Amino acid sequence: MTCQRFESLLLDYLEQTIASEDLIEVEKHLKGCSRCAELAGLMRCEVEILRTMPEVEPGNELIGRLLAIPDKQSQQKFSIFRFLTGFFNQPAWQPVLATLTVFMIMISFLTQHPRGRSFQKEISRMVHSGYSQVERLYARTGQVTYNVESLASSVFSSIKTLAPVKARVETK
Amino acid sequence: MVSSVELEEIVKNCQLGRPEAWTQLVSNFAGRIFNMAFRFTGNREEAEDLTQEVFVKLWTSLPAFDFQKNFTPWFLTLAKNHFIDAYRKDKMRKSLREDFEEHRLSGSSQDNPETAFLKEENYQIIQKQLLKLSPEMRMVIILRDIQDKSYEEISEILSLPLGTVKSRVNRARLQLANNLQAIRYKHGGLT
Repeated sequence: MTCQRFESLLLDYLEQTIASEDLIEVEKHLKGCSRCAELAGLMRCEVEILRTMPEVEPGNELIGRLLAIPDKQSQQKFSIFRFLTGFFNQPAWQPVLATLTVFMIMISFLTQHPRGRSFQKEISRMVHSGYSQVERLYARTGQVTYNVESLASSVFSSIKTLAPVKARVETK
Repeated sequence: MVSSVELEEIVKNCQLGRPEAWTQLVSNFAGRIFNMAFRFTGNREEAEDLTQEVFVKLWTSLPAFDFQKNFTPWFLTLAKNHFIDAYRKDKMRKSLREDFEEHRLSGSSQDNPETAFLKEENYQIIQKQLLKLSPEMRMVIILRDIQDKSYEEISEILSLPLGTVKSRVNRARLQLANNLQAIRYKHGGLT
């Protein structure tokens, strides 16, 4: 057995999960190779020390910090909200916000106040009458188009009837 | 140690924003994560910072936790990834290796002063050598030999096949043993 092969079997050898035929080979190698025997001893010792390493207790201050994480996270969300309100409270936004306020008052007047409703009805009536006027105008336009088309066709038929007459007069 | 069913209930309550559930989660995992971080960094302050960062990550990831998965390996994977990322970002390298903290680890109270001193020395030698391993190698040693996880659990946490985990543990132990052998020849380590 080579040292390389021995190293690849070391884990199974130390954890006693090695196949019996490999175990014979490993033990034979260990008797003949002092370097590998030392390595196996060190590895056994190292695993033993690692397994008995004492647990380190987290301090109370750390535990306090960990318990406070949900509150801190929600505070961070709140500060984002504060950032947004601060942003919109800037003087540059004031004309925009004033216009928006006036616009909102107008909308609420139109939709909620009784007079506002009558005003709204008036606007609606005006819009509808305007719309019907446009429709009438459009209908008239259609009539004009029809008249123009019929005029054009009558002119065209007159020209058609006049053409043979003109030819006869010319031949005479 | 709570069962996986109880743990699932705790996680559900955490998702609902119940503070007592978060307290239970912290009391169940703070020690484990802190120890893992301490062995990974070799420095108490770094370990505390890393533990806090891992728990912040846990808090933000909890709403998306998939209950098809097992919580403990999922959380340990999250912690492991964070530790390795933090290492790679060179956050803690400044205090690793050369500047290993002379942290007093309490030995067993049954030991006589001489044995306790020798044990203490051994722990420090091993911890120092542990920090010389690559983060991946260090992590398998922490999970297998310090936290006593089975190969199956490590395979789940690291998302690696069982055979790869075993060979990685073997290589990590070999590297550690080779380093210890080198120290023994140089200074006479491990008593």
